[in-house]
Amino acid sequence: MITVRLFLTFAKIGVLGFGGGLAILPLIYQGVNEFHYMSEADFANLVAIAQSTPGPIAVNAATYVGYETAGFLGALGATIGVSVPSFILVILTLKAINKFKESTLVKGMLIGVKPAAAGMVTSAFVFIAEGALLYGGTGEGLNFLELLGDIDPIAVGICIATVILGSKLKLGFFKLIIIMGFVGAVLGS
Amino acid sequence: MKKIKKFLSQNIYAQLFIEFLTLGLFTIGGGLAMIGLVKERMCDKRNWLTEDETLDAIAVSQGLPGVIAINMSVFVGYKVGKIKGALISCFAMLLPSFLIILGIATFLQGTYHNPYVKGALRGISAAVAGIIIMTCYKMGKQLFQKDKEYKGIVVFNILVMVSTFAAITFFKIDVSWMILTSIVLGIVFFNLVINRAKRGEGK
Repeated sequence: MITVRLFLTFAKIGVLGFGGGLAILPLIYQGVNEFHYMSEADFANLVAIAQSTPGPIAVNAATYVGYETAGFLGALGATIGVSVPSFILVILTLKAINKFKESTLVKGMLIGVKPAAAGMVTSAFVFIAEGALLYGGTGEGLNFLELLGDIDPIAVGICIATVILGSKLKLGFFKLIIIMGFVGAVLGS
Repeated sequence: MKKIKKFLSQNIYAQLFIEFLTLGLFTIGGGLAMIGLVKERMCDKRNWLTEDETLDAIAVSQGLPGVIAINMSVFVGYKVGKIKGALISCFAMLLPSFLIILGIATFLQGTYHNPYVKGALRGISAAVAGIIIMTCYKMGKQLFQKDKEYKGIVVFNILVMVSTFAAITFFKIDVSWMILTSIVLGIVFFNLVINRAKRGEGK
C-alpha cells in the first residue's frame, strides 16, 4: 500500500516538476514529509549524495527516499512514479510534432526552440561551473573578489585540460570523464 | 564474442540499452551534465538524431515537466524504436542510478565519504563543465552559420540564444517560460518570412 502511495506522490512530482533536477528537489522534500518527518539537515545530506552519484539528481533522490520509506519496493515505486509522467508527456509531444510538422505553427515553433535550447545549454554551463569550479558549491556571493577567492584551481585546471584534450586531440567524452576522474582522485584527495 | 558483436550491430534495442546504460553511469551532476554526451553519442556517433533534432530534444526535455534525463531517454528511444525503444532507453537510464543509490543506502555509506571517491567526483564534475563548453561552441557554430533557407535566421538565432541564456542565468526565469516565449517568437518569425517570400513572388 505504501508502495502505491509512494508511486502516486512521485508521479505527481513528475507532472508538476518543471526545470529538472534541482528545481524538483523542494517538491521531493514536501513529498517525503507526507510519509515521515525528515530534518532539513538529513535532506541536505540526501541532496549531496544525489548530486554527486551517477544518474539524474531527481531519480537518485526518489530512489533514496523510496528506500528509506519502504525498502526495495518503495524505491521501485518512487523511481517508476517519477518517470511515468515523463514517458507519457514526451511521447505525446513527439506524436503531436510529427502529426503537424507541415503546419506553419509547428515549423515556427521548431525554429524558435532551437536557439533557445542552445541558450539553455550555455546557462547549464554556468550552473554546472558554479558547483564544479568553486569551493563550497553554489557561488552565492555576487561580489567579484569573493568569487575569485572561491575558485578551485585544481578543478579549473582539469576543466581547461578537458577542453584542450577534447578539441585538439579529439578524445571522446567518455574517455575524458574517466581520465579526469583519475586525475581528480590523485590530486584532490 | 563475434556473435555478441553481430547482435549489437544489428539490434537497435540492444544498442539503445547500452548507450543509455553508459549515459546513466556517466551522468554525474544531473541531467544537464549529460547534454554533451548525448550530442556526441546520439548525434555524432550513432546518427540517431540530426544536429537540429538534438536541439529539439534538449528543448523538449527541459521544457516539459519531469526529470530532464528521463525525458531525453524517452525522446531518443521513441524516435529510434517507438514505444519499445522508449521503454528500453528509460529503463537503461534508470538502472545505474537505482542500483548505486540502493548500494549507498544499504551498505556503501563509507564509499561515498572516501576521499579518493570524492576527489574523482570533483574531477569528473570539472571535466563535465569542460565538455559543456565544447558542446556550446559546436551548437553555436551551427546556429550562427549563414542559412540559405530563411533570411535573417542568424540574427534571430543570436538574439533568442543570448536572451534565453541571460533570462535563465541572471534573472532566474523558469526554463519552461523561456521555451514558451521562444515558441511564440519562432512562430512570429516564420510567418514574417513566409509573408515576405509570398510578396516577393507576387511582384
